[in-house]
Amino acid sequence: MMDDAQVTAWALDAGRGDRDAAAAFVRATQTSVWRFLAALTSAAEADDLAQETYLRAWRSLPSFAGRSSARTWLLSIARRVAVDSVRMAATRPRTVAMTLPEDLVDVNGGFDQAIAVEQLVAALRPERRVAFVATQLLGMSYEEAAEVCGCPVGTIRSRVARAREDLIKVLATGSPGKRRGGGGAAS
Amino acid sequence: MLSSQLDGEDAPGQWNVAQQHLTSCDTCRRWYDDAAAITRRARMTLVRDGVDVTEVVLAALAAGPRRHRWWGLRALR
Repeated sequence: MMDDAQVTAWALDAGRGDRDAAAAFVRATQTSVWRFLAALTSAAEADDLAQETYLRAWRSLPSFAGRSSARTWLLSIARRVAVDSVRMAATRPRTVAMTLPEDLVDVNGGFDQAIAVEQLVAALRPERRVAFVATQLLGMSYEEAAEVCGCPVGTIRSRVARAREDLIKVLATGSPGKRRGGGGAAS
Repeated sequence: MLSSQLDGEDAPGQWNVAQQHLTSCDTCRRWYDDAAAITRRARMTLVRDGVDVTEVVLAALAAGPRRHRWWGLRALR
């Protein structure tokens, strides 16, 4: 786990025009940013969105005062970038079919594979996925995740619990509750 | 409560209560075991990385963060 205080110091220095600090800031945070974005959108989109996240971060660096950690500040920007991207994608014709939990049943027995877990997480409702990924994949505390999401800590607590419930249901039955037998069309 | 315990985010004292319940409730015990298993698996497997964007985003920083150059950069792709 990276040193949050050091990362925040780099961000503040970067805001004053220190190029080395900016480079250190990017190197220290880009893995988290990419993984977060890949989980919220897709691995294919994450490279572009990671760049966009930093470009937006540079724009708002002057107003970053270090009151919150730079890591949560940056990931809250990444979350907004992901939300905007999904919103824009929704206005375009969809070219890639969404993975439905029903499709995953076919790979049952192969749940040991990393890709299956990724698909299960990808099938979670967006707000639950954000909470789950932030706390489990990025190792954030509930408080940090709440900062990233702009919601109360209790909301993160219940979203993480519900994400776990959904994952358990899918693993047990191949379907998160009432969506079972839904065929190809997500309603 | 069981979920937040897996993350070390449960309130002090809650775990004792939960443990007592778990010894007598098969459903919750199974849920807790399943939740622990899926959590472990997710933490271990969801690990991949993207390309190094350091140089690209530093170039953008050098170009001036307030000129919205990045809109142009993206549009050119």
